[in-house]
Amino acid sequence: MIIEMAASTFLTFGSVTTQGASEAAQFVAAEAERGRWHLQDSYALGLGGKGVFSELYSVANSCLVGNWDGYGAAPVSADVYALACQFLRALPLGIAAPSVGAEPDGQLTLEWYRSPRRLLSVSISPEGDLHYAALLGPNRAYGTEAFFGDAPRTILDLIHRVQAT
Amino acid sequence: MRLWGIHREIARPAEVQRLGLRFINRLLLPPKYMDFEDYLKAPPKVPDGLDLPFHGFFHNETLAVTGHPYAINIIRTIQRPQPPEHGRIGIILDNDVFTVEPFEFQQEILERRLAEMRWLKNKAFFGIISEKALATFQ
Repeated sequence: MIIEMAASTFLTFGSVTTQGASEAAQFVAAEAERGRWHLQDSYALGLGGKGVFSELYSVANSCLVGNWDGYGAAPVSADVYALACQFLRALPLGIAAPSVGAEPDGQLTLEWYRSPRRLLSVSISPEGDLHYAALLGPNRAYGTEAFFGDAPRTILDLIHRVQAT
Repeated sequence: MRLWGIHREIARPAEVQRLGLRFINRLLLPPKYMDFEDYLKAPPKVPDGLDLPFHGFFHNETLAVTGHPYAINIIRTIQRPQPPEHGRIGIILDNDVFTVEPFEFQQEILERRLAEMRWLKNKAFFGIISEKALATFQ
């Protein structure tokens, strides 16, 4: 048996299967989700166990109504919250936990912070776009990736580079 | 491909971001039958020293196809008896071949990739089921 442990392998392919509409496909999807949630709840591997989903809910809930910052901020919609949950669930198990924040334009932001010169911020828009900006020592990376259910490899690569020792 | 043709006419996609080919098969076992070894080449095993019956299992392997932009997601699980198949457990075999490497839309590229993916799907399917399981499809 060969187990390919190079990080690039995990970055290349997402965890989301091809969508299916049949009863069997829905059964498999539900079972897979149940299994993933079981692992997501673990302290060692899962973002659920690390409290990220609770933090996301808390932030989104506190920004449900417009002007939540006292400066006319747009509300965080249920759609943005759902997309953020979906994006977090699409991340590989064992990945470092981000901190969660909200922006005045109603987007939710996930931030992986290692040092002032080594960080990544990903903002989730209501349209399903992931706007990212990273500082990696002297280098910068920024752009937008459409989110179709799989965590984009560009962003996975940046998370890996921010966390790399 | 008929629906894809309609989508292509309306949306006129310039690029394909993800392409997947997924087949799900269900093998119905005889009533009260739980000997998976007869049907799967690599059946689930109980831990040594625990001779207990299975209540369920869910195996998921993702294989990267070296040198090609494809991955194969293989799921084997069981579905408890569904009416009207009282007492008959189903083994679900889910083979999903996909690529997340974007490519410019051209019909010939799409068809070539689908043909390659179908070959991989068949290879995976026939590699996990036994002759006895194969006979149930004939």
